[in-house]
Amino acid sequence: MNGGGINATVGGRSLWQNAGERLRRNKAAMFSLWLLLVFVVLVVAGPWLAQHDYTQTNLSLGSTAPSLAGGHWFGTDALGRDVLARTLAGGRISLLVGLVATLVSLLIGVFWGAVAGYCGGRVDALMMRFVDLLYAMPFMFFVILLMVVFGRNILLIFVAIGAINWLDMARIVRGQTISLRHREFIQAATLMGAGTLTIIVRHVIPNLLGVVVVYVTLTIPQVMLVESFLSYLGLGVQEPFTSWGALVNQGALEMETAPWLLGFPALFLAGTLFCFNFIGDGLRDALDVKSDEDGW
Amino acid sequence: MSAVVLKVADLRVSYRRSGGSFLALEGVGFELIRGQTLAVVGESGSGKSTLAYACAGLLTPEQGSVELLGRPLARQRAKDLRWQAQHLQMVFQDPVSSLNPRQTIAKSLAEPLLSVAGNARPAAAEISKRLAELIAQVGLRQDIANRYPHELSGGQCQRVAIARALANRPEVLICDEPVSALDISVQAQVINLLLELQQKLALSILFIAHDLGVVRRIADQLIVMHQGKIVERGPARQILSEPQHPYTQNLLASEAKLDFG
Repeated sequence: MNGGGINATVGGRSLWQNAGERLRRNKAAMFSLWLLLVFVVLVVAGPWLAQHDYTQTNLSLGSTAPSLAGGHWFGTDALGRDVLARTLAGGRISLLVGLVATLVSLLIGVFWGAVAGYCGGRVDALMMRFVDLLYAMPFMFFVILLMVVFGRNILLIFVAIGAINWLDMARIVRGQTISLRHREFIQAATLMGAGTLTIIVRHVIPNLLGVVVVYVTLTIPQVMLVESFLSYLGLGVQEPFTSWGALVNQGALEMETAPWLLGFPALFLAGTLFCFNFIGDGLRDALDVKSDEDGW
Repeated sequence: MSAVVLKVADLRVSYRRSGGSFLALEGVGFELIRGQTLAVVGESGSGKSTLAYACAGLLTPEQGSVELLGRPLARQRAKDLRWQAQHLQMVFQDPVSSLNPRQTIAKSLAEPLLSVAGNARPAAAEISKRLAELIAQVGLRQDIANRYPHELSGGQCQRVAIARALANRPEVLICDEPVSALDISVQAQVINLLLELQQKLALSILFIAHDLGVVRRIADQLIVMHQGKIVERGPARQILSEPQHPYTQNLLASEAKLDFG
């Protein structure tokens, strides 16, 4: 490593670039990253890749086993729908739920936590008691209530999951912000006449992003699991849409007669969850200052 | 014209601790004269850093006042903050953590220029010209602008911090043990830089230190603090040669022991 050398570069290497390099040396994380990329491409390109429409039923082909020759590589379900097409379509919803819900929790949580942590005092107490209040609400009850009042709606799932997850994010970000608040560069910025919002946006948030990124990669699989759980309860996405959780749910019912109905969606779901966890782990190591051989 | 740039009177600050409150400063007052260096010495916990933070308005005293150029410090309105930013700046103890690790040096240096300007954003060319001036002024190479703090040494970071503090040409500079985190050889360079800049820019410096060697080099006036109170004050040369208070005598004696140690 010559990143810290005097004449190595004129451009300067940011902490992100250093972390990226460390991540690239982490084999498990890089493998997961590539595998995840393959999953994403497959899932996004699903409608063009699969030879069958995921909603098209064919009762004469009910529950056929996977075969290359038959054209249904992953087999079909009881209604004769192509499992490959359904797995890819389900993946689109699962990943979308994971991403959107995480994004919602990210935006609210980072802002909430940073403001509470930076302002401190009464503002902090008020904001965090509100978080405690929401924490005390039983989540499942909350979701079921939402479903009952507003009807089953995929958008509602995004919102519901995101609205719960930002609480953890806010707490983590607040803790980090408090430890940043007394650092000299923040004090220097206040002396330079920078306003509170400027300091939060320019100095606090960029320095929290490492923690946030790690947390995001661990939140996405968590959200996907929650969605699976909701689908399992029958509260998740509704026909004709499907998700990995919903597919696993249906597959589990016919596990003994048609194991491929459970196997393929479960493989994709578990694979994706593993990938995110490995990437999150890798990122945590890569962003950890102490593992930097360059020194500071 | 009055020569007093920073006037502190009857300052009292206490910290709340688990077992009641801890008095960090009591009845502290002094005047900083234009163009002079007033050093504050004392052991750790004597309240000298608290004094620096209170003078900068980074913490609010329970009692007493701080006047900068005849105006009491007020940090409520954005206008007051900007006014203060143009007249008083501070250099901190830890050079590396005084700079935002995610920003290049150029960005850190441009910040005071932008925040004082408010909405009237100066032109990019103007900023880069001033940046080059600042970098040259503290004796750094221009290619440092695109680097990040973690790629610099402690001494270089402290030079950047000094350049940033001087960006808006303040009259008063508060230095909170600016060299105590640096190597001995680098300490001398940074002190010389401060002396040189003081001459050139007619800076008035409030210099917090625990190292008497540094104080001897830089101070005109000296305040000795012990347990939150001023125990001795006067011209630096006089105090260092003929200390009156037993605590000051002790400080000087322990320094001598170290020298021969």
